[in-house]
Amino acid sequence: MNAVATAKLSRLRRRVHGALFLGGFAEATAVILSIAAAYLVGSRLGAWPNVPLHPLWATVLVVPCAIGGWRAWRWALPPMTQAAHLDHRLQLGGLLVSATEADATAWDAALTSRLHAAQARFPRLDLGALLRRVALPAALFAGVCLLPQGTRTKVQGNRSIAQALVDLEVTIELAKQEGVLPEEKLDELGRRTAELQENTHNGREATWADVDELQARLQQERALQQDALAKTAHALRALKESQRNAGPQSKSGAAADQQSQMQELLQHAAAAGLLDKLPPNVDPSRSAKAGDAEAFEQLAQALAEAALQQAQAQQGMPGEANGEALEDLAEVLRGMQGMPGGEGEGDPVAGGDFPGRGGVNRGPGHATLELNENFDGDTSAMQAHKLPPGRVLPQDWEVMQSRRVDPEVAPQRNQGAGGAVAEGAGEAAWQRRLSPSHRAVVRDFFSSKRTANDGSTEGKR
Amino acid sequence: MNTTLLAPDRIARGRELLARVRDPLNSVLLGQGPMLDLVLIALSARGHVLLEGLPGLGKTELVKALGKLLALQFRRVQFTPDLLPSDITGGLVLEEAAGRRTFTFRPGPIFANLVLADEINRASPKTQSAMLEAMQERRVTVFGETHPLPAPFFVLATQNPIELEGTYPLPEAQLDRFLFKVDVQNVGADVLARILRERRRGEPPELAAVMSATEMSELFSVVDAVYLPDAVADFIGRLVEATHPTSNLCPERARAAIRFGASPRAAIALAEAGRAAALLAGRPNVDFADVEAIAVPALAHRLVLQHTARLEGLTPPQVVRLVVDATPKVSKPLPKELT
Repeated sequence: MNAVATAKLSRLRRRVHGALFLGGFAEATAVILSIAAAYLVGSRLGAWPNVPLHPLWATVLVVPCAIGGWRAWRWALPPMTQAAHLDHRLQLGGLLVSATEADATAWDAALTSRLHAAQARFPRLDLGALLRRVALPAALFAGVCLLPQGTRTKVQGNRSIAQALVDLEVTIELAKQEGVLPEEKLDELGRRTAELQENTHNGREATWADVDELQARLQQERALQQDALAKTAHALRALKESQRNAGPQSKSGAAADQQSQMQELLQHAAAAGLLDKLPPNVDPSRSAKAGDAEAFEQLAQALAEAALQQAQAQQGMPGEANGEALEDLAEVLRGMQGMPGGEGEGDPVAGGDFPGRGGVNRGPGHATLELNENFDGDTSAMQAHKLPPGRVLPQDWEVMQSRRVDPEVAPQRNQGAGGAVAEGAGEAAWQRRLSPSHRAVVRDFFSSKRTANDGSTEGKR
Repeated sequence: MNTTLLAPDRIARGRELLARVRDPLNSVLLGQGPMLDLVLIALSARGHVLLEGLPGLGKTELVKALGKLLALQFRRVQFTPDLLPSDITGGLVLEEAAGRRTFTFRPGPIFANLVLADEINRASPKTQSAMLEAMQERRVTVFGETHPLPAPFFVLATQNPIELEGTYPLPEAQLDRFLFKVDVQNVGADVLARILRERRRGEPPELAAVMSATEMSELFSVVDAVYLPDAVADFIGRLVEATHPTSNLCPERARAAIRFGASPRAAIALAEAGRAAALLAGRPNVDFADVEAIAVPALAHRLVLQHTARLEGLTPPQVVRLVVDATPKVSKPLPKELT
């Protein structure tokens, strides 16, 4: 074969390989871009975690390169086929394909001149078609990248961890509002929670160990607070007992003891954070002076009230708490206040969100006033709203209560043996799905074996 | 490389020999150039031709002219319903020589180089079948004795497509033995006017022999030396396979229309006729275009169509064109990224 024909065939071979490679590269890139765009849309909607951009992502280009290379290797045309294509395309009348198989020296000149004449019909790479293949997925990907972040709170990564962090944040916020824990401790826990949430949002890993540690610290703070409250209550009771026993003419030794007990009480009260919650007219330093029984009584009353409020607030907080201990403590404090239901004397304390004390339900005592369908007023604001699974609270919402509810079981229509039973025809029935173990029991109950052994059940069927 | 393409001078010589026949033929049958080329291709490939056309289009005149031009022994057999096989092949006759009576074989009209089987479909199938051995194996067997036919041997048959009364359609086995079935088309007004101007009573010009037996052998040797590339042979193979409705290569519409596809003899016919077509075009090798050009006359009469296809108005040439259009020239396509 002459040199011109050989050169043309080599050129065609290179173009075929290049086209196959670029075609595979473009198709793989289009697929990857489409997948990436779909993933981005999913991450924008909160279905998948956000993957931050990283230089290592450039290694993804290895995949299109590999696919392009595989395609160029797998679909490479044999030389004879390429010659046939070139011959047909350039309308060489079979001379080129014959020249590759037989001795065509006598036709070299004719072949060369026809090859030169048909230069314009030589196969070319269709770059436009290649770009068109990638253009749409690339535009889609770019468009999705340019989309703003969604208005929803973006909880990504491990949704359970994210939800636990949100619960923790709510608890900390609630504790802050109620003042049941020292603010600096809550601030520290809040910062750590926010940091973990930020990590989760950015796709970095947050582990359950981090969440457990935070929850343990919060629990520890609550236990310490509860302990301080209990110590305050006991110190208060001991001091009152001591004063009652001593009477108005107390001796100097007893006075010193009372002074010591008072210092201890104030220490415990400070540890429990109660001193900050005393009314302005109550001065702990004045009350601490011996002999001022009226000031002491005022302080004791204020401390008992503050401690009771804190104990009740602790009881109302979500999470684990020693409910019995707190209830005992509340009883003790009520006794010292002389509240109804308590053992001591004193006036009922107004205020608070509890039944009988001006709460939303304003019933006498513990008898709650339910704002149900019998209530004439507008109760729409009190309606409970069920959130979809995995959905966190919108920012303008406020947590009032969280509780466990029974899972919803989708009722399933009872199907007759001959197909669907007409609804409302008296034959439709509804049943709940049975778990396998229950199903086995039911099957056993209705089995022929049982029928044979236990004739008493036959009449019940 | 074991093969060498024919040199340009040999190709030119082959074309010159063909032109010697083609030009006088064109002067006999005006305005029938493509049909004459097909007949010439078939003769160069040593194949038989079935000419189908309305009366008066010059079918018989063409064959007579060929006989004169090629200086071949020419016989004409007018096929009729009472024609017997022995009327064609010849038979044994009782002869008395030297006081002894012996059966002597007397050759029939088929013992000629060029046989015109005029209105071949008027003979009974029995008589038509007498042509089978002669057309394929170029010999005749009578009473157990085989007689070779003279070389070259061509059968040019004619048939009228519109007169069906008293005719017998050619069996598929015999149709398959024709290299081409050529539809003789009607001519236009200008050609008719030219005939009227140039010819008295429609008499064609006198013809003289233009090719000797030696030159004819030379022509055949040149045709045989035309190169058939593997790619074209592969195309022919796929084309013939695509005529079979059971093949994956068969296009959907053709699959519904075809009952039986073409035989391997069709592929051989395409290759041989392709060589002659390439020589006529002045090429040392067969091209895809040569195969495409002869696909309809070489394949159409070999296809057996479904009755439903006939009812839909599909004709065998249309089905062949469907198959040709659907069969790629090269088995593996170029990447779609190349324009």
